[in-house]
Amino acid sequence: MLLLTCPNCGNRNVSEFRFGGELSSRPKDPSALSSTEWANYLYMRNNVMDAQTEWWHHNAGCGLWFLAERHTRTNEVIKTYPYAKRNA
Amino acid sequence: MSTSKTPIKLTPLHSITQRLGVTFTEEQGWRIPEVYTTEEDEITAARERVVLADETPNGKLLLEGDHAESVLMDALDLDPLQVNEGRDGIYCLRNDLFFITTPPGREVRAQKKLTTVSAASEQFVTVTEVTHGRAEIRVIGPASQELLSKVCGLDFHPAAFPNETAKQSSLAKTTQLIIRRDIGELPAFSIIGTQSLGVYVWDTLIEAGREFGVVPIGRAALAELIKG
Amino acid sequence: MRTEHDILITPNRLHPKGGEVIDRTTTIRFTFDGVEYTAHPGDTVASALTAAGVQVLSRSFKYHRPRGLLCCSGHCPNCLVQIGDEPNVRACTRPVEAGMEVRAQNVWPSLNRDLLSLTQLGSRFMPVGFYYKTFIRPQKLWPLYEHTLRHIAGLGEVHIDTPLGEFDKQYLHTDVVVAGGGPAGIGAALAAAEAGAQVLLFDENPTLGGHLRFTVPMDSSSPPEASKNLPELLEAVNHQPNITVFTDTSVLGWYQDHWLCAVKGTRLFKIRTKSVIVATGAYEVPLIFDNNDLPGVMLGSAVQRLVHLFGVLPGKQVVIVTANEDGWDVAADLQSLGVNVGAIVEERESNACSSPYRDGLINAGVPVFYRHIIVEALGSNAVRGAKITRIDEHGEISPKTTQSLHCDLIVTSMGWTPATELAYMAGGKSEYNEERAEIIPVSTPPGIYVVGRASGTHALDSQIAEAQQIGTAAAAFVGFGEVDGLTAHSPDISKPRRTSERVCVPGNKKRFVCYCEDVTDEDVQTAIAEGYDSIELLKRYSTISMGPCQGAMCSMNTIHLCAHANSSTIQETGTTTARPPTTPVTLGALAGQNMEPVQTTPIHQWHLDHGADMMVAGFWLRPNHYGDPASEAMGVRERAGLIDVSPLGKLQLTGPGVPELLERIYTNQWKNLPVGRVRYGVMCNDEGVVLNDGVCAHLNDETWYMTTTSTGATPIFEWLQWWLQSGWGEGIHLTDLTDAYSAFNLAGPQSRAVLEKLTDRNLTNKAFPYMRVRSAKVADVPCRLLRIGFTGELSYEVHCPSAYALHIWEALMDAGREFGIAPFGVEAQRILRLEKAHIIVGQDTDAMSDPLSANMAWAVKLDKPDFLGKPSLMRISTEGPKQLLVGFKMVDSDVVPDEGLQIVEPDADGRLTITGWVTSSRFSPTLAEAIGLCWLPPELASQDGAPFTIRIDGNLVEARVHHDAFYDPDGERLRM
Repeated sequence: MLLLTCPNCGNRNVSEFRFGGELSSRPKDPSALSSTEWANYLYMRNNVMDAQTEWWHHNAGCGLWFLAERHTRTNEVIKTYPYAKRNA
Repeated sequence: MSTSKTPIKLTPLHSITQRLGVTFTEEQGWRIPEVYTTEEDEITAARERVVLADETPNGKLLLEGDHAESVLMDALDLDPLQVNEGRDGIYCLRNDLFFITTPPGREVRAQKKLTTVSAASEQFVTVTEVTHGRAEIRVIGPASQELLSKVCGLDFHPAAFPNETAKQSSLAKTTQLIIRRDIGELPAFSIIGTQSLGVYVWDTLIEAGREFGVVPIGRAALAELIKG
Repeated sequence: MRTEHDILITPNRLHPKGGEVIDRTTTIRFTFDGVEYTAHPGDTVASALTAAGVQVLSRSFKYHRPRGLLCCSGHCPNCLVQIGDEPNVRACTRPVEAGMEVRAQNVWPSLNRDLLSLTQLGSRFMPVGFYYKTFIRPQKLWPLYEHTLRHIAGLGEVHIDTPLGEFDKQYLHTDVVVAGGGPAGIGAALAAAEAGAQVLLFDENPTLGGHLRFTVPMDSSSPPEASKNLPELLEAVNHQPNITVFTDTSVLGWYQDHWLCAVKGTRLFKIRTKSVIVATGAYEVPLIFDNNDLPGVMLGSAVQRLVHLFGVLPGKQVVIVTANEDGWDVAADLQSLGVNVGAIVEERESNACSSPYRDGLINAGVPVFYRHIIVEALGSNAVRGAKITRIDEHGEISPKTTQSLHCDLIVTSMGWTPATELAYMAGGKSEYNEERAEIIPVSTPPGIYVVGRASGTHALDSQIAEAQQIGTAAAAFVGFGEVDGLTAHSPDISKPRRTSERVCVPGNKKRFVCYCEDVTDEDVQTAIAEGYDSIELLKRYSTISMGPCQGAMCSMNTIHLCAHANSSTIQETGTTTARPPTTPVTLGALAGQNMEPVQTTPIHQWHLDHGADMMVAGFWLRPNHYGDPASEAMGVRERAGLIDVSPLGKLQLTGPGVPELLERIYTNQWKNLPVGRVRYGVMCNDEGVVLNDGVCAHLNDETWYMTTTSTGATPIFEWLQWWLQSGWGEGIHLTDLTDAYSAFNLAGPQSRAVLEKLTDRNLTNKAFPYMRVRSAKVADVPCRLLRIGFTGELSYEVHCPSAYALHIWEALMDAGREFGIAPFGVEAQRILRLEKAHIIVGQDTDAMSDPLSANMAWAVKLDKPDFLGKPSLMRISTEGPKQLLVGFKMVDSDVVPDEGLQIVEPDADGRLTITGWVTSSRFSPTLAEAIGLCWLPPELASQDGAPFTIRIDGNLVEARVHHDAFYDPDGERLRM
């Protein structure tokens, strides 16, 4: 993966992007969480050796934060799409 | 209250051009280089090699919002912004973000109109003038594609980067909006980026263009080139 | 014209003939180890030295044995020399320039009498892997060992004071890249280009043509009508507009998504392509026998290059050792030039040899020894003879048939190994082909093709046909034309085999497998016996293929030796992994031009013109001071000062959703902030760690103007973009105005008087109080004024459109002259804020600091619904902070402890425990004493005046906790 497809700008060198980590979402009601649950949200990652959905930011381009499905072993990017289309 | 001087707008490249001992002219409150060497030499350099022109005074607006496009269409209907005529241009950066460039001074009217239209539309659209925040360097000439290929990973071939299209990318490790705006047959690219990096980008382009004989050109030569 | 003078000094130069690349009409001079030599333009350093009869060009890495030309194609280490201050130059590929100063590397005292060669006598103490085994104990002697070894080993010298070279990079985009410009590469490029694809054709030589440049007239296996000759091919390339040729350019590596890297001199190319055709040819494989590294033992292709390209013959009496038709080609070639071919030593039986030149050579009286092999090169610093012997019916050498031949040049033509690194980097798979005795590619990933000798196809007519197919297939792959049921690989293995399986002839002297690292076949046997019997382990332990040749000369032979020692097959033994770079590249080329972005404010030149000492802050250049920071600070306290704070991040937030967003990203209250007000806020991440701080102004109904720290502008913009784009963005637009506005902080008791001269806006404390924002025309320019006070004095931050920055700055300085205004820099600002005990995020806080501990609990509202960091801060609040950030004064008021020093506590035994550290410290010119901020345990920090000790240069120095600001603790001066 030295090419990454920004859903907005198309194929670009990966050096134009910043990695944003695994897709995880902030709990809706943090005050309802136990310390362990809160710590899990903050620090625990799945770190799979498989296809993983992750954040990328086109920081040297249009500024879009988007999602990429990438295989962590082969580095193959299966697809990229805007966050708004994550359930499509 | 007392002021001694009339406000004058300076581009971020002013200190460089000043050092080069150019003659200045004023346009819409901006002090800009008129001629560096001679108009003829600068035109020849643009036609045969590659040149840089400081076009920072061009008006620049951002139009943001999910309904930005419809506001833009309404504004064009009411009173054309003269898109693609002269040097105005509207470029879609994201489906909810448009970049509008105007000749110097015309951004005031454009901003007023877009603000009025968006207010009338009752859509959430934000119009922001960013002229002062961006340096604009035009790279003009047959060697412009090759020069830019030394500082940017984009493919500048016309098939990959057609005229009147815009791309945001990394140029010399900085984020720039690059618009291809050929002058007749001459390939030309406007490099638009944060003004505090203007001097750095200018110096980098001069350095990268040395092998092609790059020189800066002033307003006079640029106007002549555009006239054709 | 040859002159008598030339004859005298270039005894090995042949008579002129066609195909040469040298210009004999001009003679230039250069030196080698101080001795002057002549050359013609077009000569390489090595060809010119060879013409002059110089045979020893270098000394080997470990044993300092004399080495001379071996491959003559830039693929072996034998001709590495130092040219001026450039180390490790390959003499065989570097063109000579007039006045060049060439020197031998790593010799003492001289190349021809290198006493370091005495290391050979101790070679039994330097077995394979010796650096893992010896010089280990006693450990305290290691510095001595290291010093000595570094002197003896190694290659050229790097001169630290060498002026920086000019290097740069260029991006290229294309449909098809052809790596290698021999007949196969040219053919493939033509075919792909004719189909309509854009093609970049790379070759590492000065001109295209590959082996046709020096072998075409002699190619025995191709009928003449099948081969286009070289000029025709070059003509076709010239007329093909879709092909761009890069000569003298090595393709260094293949990376994912067909991203290639190539180097041409000082320029690095980064190439984005859709398809790659690997036409990088083959390496001729050396034979391993006693003293096989003696100068005068050369590869057949090396001799042909010297003869045809440079008109240089490196010997007078030649013995050719071969196992294929190539050796006979070389023999016929040399004989046609009038060279005395002393003997042909042919490994095969006579009936296996089908060279068309055989009868001609035999009839001319050239002795041929069938079923013979060389066992030793005779001579000390150069070849003086060859010892050959018969191979018996079992394929073993029979010592009793040994005989010596007189000669001064031994040419080996034993076989080839395809140069397929690029295909393997791309994920290609290889197999050992027993018919050809070569490891050749059998499959490649989509878009990768291999053609010509790289795919095992040697015959020219087959190469041309294969190239046509492959070029068409590559074009079709990128969308030009149809794929016609082609497989990527159709190596023509029907032709006679070119490679012998014999790689090593046993003997009793040194036999080198690896020329780069001086590894002998005995070393390989030892390593395998020690258990390093897999090819990858063997490589790492012995360092074979890890030197400058990167395996070109040694990989194939090592695989054979390893397979033989393990009694396994070549296929089972496998190959080592191919990695970039394929050929050595200078660090300068990889680094490219200096491209470090620098941000300057619109009045940068004014700062320079007024004696500013500039400092780097992030990417910004900012005035640190204008000569005397202490008096700059005093000027602000007593009169008025002006500082350029343009680098401050400035973000515009618009829309109905902004108040809710501010509530979530800041730790304090925002919904109740009226229009015209400014509030200070701290941003945390969900860990409760302080990310940034700044003020945010409510400009009008739905517009807010946020400032961040200078270095925080970009990270906070990206941080906000993330929250806005991942669910919190409803009804909010964010625009970065950092550069659209320049900002100057006018500070000091006289600042109101200064500003009043430039604006009609009512600046009285009543009309424009502390922590308010107003828009106003200043010097006829519409500006935003923020009344805030980082310095602790009455002050106005003037934000103006950036193109007017110089106008505004000069107007403020002019207006302030009568009040004694002076510019102040970052250092004075740091003093002023420290006197107020204002923290700087990133200076006084780190990646573990929360606002409760950092003395900013007043800015944290734990009772508001939810905000970033709240759950973490709730826990910290409950458990209590582990450290607190607090002010301190020194007991000895002149001692300023350095920032970062440890705060220690001696126990009863006098042992010290670290309990905290100093984050900021200055000598306060206002208070005339040393002050600072530090982290301390809560029990200590909470007692105003509590003593503690700072360790300064090993001495314990006393300081006392100081609560509140050091200067104007009630903040009266801000509100004047």
